[in-house]
Amino acid sequence: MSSQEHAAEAAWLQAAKKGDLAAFNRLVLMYQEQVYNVAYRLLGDPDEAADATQETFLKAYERLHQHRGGAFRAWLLRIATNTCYDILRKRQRESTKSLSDVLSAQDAAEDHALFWQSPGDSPEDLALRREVHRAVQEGLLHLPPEYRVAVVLSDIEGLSYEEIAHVLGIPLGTVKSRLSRGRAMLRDYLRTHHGELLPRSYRLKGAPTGERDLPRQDREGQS
Amino acid sequence: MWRRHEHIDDQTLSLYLDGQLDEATRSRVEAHIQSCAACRESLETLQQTVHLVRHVPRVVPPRAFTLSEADVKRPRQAATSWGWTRWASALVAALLVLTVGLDVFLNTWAPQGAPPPAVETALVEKAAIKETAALQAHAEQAPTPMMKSLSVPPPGQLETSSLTATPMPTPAPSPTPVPTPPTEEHELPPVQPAPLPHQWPWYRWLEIILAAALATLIVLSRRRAR
Repeated sequence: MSSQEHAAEAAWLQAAKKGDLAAFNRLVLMYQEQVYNVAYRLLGDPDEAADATQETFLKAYERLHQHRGGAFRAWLLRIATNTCYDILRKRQRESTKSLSDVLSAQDAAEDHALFWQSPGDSPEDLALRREVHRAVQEGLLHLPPEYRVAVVLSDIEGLSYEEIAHVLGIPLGTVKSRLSRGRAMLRDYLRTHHGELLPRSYRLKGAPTGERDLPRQDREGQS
Repeated sequence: MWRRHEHIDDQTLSLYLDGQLDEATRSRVEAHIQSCAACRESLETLQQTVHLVRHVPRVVPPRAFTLSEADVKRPRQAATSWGWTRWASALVAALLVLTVGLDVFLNTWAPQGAPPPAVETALVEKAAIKETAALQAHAEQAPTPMMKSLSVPPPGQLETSSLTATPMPTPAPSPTPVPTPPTEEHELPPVQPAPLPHQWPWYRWLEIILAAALATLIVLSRRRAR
């Protein structure tokens, strides 16, 4: 976020706290993509993700007075993840939806072209993307929620460890262990069910020297 | 750190991928994976997994989630009424705790050796003593506030009046009479116990009413919460 955007966010936030709904809606437009993506990855269901997103912003508006400085995004994502946890708990309690229900709903949702935000893809690219997307989403949904949320916030949303700790209200050490556990479980899932997506044995060409921040650069770097 | 037959744990590999290891550990990891095929495979598959997750496409929100005036009006009201029932529940719960405490206190401090049914008669007797004391005080001098609080209506009367109040969801907190310390009562002249039918003392009824009110409030607030 640029400093300009930062200043705009602070101004909207201040106005929203005084009851300016239009200002709050600027914040909604700013963050709805991220909140929706988090909800979708955690819940795996587009309709539930939309409900969770709506509820997140409603709760955020109601609780604006509770926001005492600090990063608005982390505060918002905390509400979002808690809202998703509630939905997952309710789902489990009422056993209305099994994992296979969710996955088939996701297949149906994927047929809507609005899913794909990558212009200039060839049909082959699209097919591959779909396969990867489906495999990863399946794997994520097989993780226990507390591991899933760590992986989603780190590797899909690109949050730092500190920010994840803030969002989830857990110590940094717990973030590290949940994230690594989640990634390892996801790897094991992919190895078992989608082995073709993982390298069997290619030689590592030396250690990744000078790539300390490999993960963050990696987002743009490789593809 | 990692000898020939040891392998690097997943957390270290994960931290390595995120560039979160200190220089020394990082060097050790790099040295180890040069010679250990299993750890190399672990790292590569983990790296590829992270890579795949990072490149999963973004999903586009199906609509705008901006709020309308109507959206924000309704939940706010719900929030305030929820707040009201919560406070009422807390108050009723506190009264219930006080009453139960009083019950336990009176029953624990009742004259020892008397069989259970006699405990109740003893309590009735106490109430009667208090009343007589209050009446005497009234006759002799202007009643002090302390004495006034002692003049409790006879147990029978209170019971019936509390009973009629049962269907009310929120009972007005009935004035809890201050129990007199037992020492004071011993100084009073003995009065013949009023012969009353075997009934529960008033505070037992109050407990039931308060418990019922609390349950009603909890149900009410749950319904309003969502």
